Amino acid sequence: MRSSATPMHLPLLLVALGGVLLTRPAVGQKQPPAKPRVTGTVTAAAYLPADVLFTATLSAPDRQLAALRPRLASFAEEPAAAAILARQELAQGRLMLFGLAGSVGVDVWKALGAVLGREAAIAVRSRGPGQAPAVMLVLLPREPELFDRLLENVHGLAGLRSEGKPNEARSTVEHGVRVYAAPPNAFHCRVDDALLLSNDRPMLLEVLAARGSGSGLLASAKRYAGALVRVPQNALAWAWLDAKRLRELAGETGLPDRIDNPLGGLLFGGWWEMLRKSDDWLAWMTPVSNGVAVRVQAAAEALPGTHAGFVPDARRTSTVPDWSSLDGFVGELRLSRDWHDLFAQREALLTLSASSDLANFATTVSTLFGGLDFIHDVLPQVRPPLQLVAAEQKFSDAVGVPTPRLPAFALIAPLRADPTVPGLPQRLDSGSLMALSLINLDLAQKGQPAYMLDVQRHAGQRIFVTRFADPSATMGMRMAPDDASPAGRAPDDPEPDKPPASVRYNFAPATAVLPEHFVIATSTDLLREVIDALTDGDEQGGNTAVPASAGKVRATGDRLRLDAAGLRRLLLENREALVINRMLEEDRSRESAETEIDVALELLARFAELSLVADIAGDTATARLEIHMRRSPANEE
Amino acid sequence: MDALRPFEPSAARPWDHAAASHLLRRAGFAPSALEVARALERGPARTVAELVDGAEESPRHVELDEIGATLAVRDDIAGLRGWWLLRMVHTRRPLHARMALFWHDWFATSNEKVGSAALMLQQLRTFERHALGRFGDLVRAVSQDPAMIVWLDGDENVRGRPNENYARELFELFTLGVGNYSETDVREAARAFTGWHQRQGRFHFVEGAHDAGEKTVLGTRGRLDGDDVIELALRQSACAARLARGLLAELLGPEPPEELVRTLGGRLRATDYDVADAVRTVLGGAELFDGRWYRARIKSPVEFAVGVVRSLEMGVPAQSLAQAVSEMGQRLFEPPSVKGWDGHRAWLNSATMMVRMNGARRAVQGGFDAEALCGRYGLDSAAAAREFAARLALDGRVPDALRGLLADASGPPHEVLRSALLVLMSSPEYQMA
Repeated sequence: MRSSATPMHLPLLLVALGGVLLTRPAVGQKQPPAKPRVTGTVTAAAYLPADVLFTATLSAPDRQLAALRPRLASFAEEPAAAAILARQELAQGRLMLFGLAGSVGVDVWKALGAVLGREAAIAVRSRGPGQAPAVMLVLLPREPELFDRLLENVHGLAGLRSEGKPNEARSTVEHGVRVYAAPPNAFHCRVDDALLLSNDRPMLLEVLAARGSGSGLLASAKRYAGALVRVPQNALAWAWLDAKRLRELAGETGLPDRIDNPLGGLLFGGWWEMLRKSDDWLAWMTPVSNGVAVRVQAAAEALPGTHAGFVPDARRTSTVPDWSSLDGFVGELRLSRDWHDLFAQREALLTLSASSDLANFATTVSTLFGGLDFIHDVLPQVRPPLQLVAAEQKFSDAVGVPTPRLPAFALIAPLRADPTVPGLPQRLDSGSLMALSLINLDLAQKGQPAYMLDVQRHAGQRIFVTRFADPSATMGMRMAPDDASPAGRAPDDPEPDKPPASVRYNFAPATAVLPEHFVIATSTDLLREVIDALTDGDEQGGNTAVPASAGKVRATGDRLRLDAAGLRRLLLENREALVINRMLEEDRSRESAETEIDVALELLARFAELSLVADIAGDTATARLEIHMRRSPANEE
Repeated sequence: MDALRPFEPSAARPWDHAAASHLLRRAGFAPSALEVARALERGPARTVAELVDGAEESPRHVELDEIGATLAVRDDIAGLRGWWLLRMVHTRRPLHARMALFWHDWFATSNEKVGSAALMLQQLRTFERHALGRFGDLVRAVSQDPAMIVWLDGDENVRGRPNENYARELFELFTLGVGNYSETDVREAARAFTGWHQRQGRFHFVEGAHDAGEKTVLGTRGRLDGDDVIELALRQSACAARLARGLLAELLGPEPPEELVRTLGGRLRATDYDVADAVRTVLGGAELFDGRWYRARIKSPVEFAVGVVRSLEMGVPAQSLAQAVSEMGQRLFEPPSVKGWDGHRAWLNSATMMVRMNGARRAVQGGFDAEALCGRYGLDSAAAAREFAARLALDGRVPDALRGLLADASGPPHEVLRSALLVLMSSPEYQMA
């Protein structure tokens, strides 16, 4: 039998639970300053071998759990949590935990806190080619007595101890410490204040042997200690990856030099280079207002000159509006690249085939600009950052409303204020018009709905827009009444006053060439709003969708920003379409599909915003992910 | 009527696993072990009666049924293709599903020209409604079906400029067959169908475009309209023979004997073209269980793919199922021509055989829950799993060449089941219905 919470939930679940677990009720509170982590007391790293590939540590998980207990308890009672916890493996885990807590006379929260303790860490080490990695878990209890009572009960249940004595057949004493073995490959021991648990007995014994000498352990490893000083004092969790060693182990099967995809290469080539050459990666999580921030840093040598296009000169960078002020804002992606430089260096950045694809693309696009070369004439006029904005569609001018309803997208390319090509705006205008005509021709040739081209003015700017013909005329027919709901409509018909249309009606391209921007959008409405934002709505005819007061910032680096409310609206609008998709593509019952979508909606209601900012500066690449939760779920407001 | 006498199990022709499985394959798709067990328990007569009368549909099928209109409104023909196949997977009325597919081939209409998922769905609904009804009602419904009108240029068929496309195919493919009508009959019949147009997805009779004058069709003269022409065609023995030959080829196997064709044709005329009666007669007849028809038909891609999924009692993503069926040569809603698919031997060539083998591999190694099936049928040993696979896929009649491969399968029962099914479902024998 299928569980109602399926893999689609897992990423959301992890983020949601992470958010709930790790979000401190910091509203209105000042966050402590980010001080470097001081290692005075015994840490979990003192029980891990020095040559681990990866380690992650939770700081004071018991206290975090206690602080969040009320939130977690209320979350556990909600339908979304119920659907998730109904998963067989989670349900079994819960039952075990309840039983264990009851056996020592504490509630489950207390028991869980006692298990997690003051610090918990996990580490992974290679066992050689073709072997599953060795994993070790270290728990440092804050209340050893309660912890030991819990452990004793586990030992009793597992048959590792009986009548207060260890089962000699399933345990041995190593370096003065009793090591228990549970099938198939779980070894653990209680040593000093710590519990060590591993799937690799030699690793466990190695740690026990080394703990007296103090050497050979992660706590004393220079590279780890050097990295750890960057983790602030208030970090809730941190993780470290030995990228250098990982590369050595991967050998020839490691990361290839270049990305074999032109788009991927231009978007992520800089990150790829840093990833390939970095020695270690460090990530830490800190609380921020109503949420958490995760910062990931990779240290490597600075990017070579061929990759300069990935870190354009900040002085050339354009200012960008605050797109979140757009009506129905869903998300934005901002990419700071020197496109001309990247195209020029394509052979150094991409594989031969990807480079060749890119050259072909440039040649094709050049034909649109009548005598101008795309790489040498057009791209030098483009300034960073390139912006992709998504917002809810209104279909105000549309003759039909498509299902599913997708957001409108706009691509905004800032242009030089002093173009080096004469008549650039006119060239871009004619190029846009030709591109729209070619797309239309292609659609018509494929028998798909074509559109009508029109020229309009908005905010004093000339814009090219497209408009689809009546879907019933294009598609030829509507549903007959006995094959659809009354009046020949499908049950999820979004706007009863407009005819339903196919998914293609989500894309009615529109373009504009402004004095310092080129904009292409998938809807005229969004194009108009983008123009208003770029011109501050101060031109005649502007509808000031984004007020001038929204301000502009000079943006460097890359940024991805998603608005949870916008995503949720989108999900709500397309709920039926998503349910149908799951019924067909996962062969599931309507009830199960609806439960899944509703759980996703409920989880999304807890989020406010997710943003990822990534930057390369000198020898360090940094990515900062911020997850902001809502003070109360959106559906309760 | 001796040629179609009812089947009476005997020592020579017992009602056993192979017979029950053979009947269920012909009346639907490759059955699950549970379906075979149920048929064995109920006996041939009751099984045939239940197949023809149709059981209550499964809740999943009912749920799926409800979303067809939404896909059509979106003009999502690819979605509709997968949706139709998924309904075949979940139906408790496999014979009705097979007959709707049969009519889709008989009255082959392609969305390549129609260009509307809504109209194709509407036509499918017509086939489903009349799947086991009277053939005359179906021909009349198809003649007024908007997709058919678009497909065969009915909207261009107007008084003074008759378009002969529909009249020609009505005689040549849908009712009489070549040699049983004249060119004059086609021209005159085309006049009778003038004004039979569609508007906004509905049949629309345009009186001003209709030629109400006198015509002579198939030897009858009068102010004939489309209904009259259909009636005249149905009166011809050639029509009954053509339908009988088609049904026998579908249910028994290719090139049915003329004696059977004549007998069933006579029965069709006598019952006013009652398709349910004809199908019941063939499926319940002794002829079906004659050894020469056992695995005598090559499964169509739809039969093959839906059969694999149904017999393995697994779930499947609709789009990948539709994609696989299309790659095997049967793109639903887009038959290659007005003649439909050539079928039988034309289904198999080196490329489509490879797609079938890959499809079987994806099913058996992908979505198929072998452990669950072992648990359901109590397969607790490698031998039991081997035996089960052999019965499920080949009615236990495993060729010697495959026996060695089956014996090689080792490991826990679910792994043996998986390996054995992979071997058997990729075999030439499994391609035969």
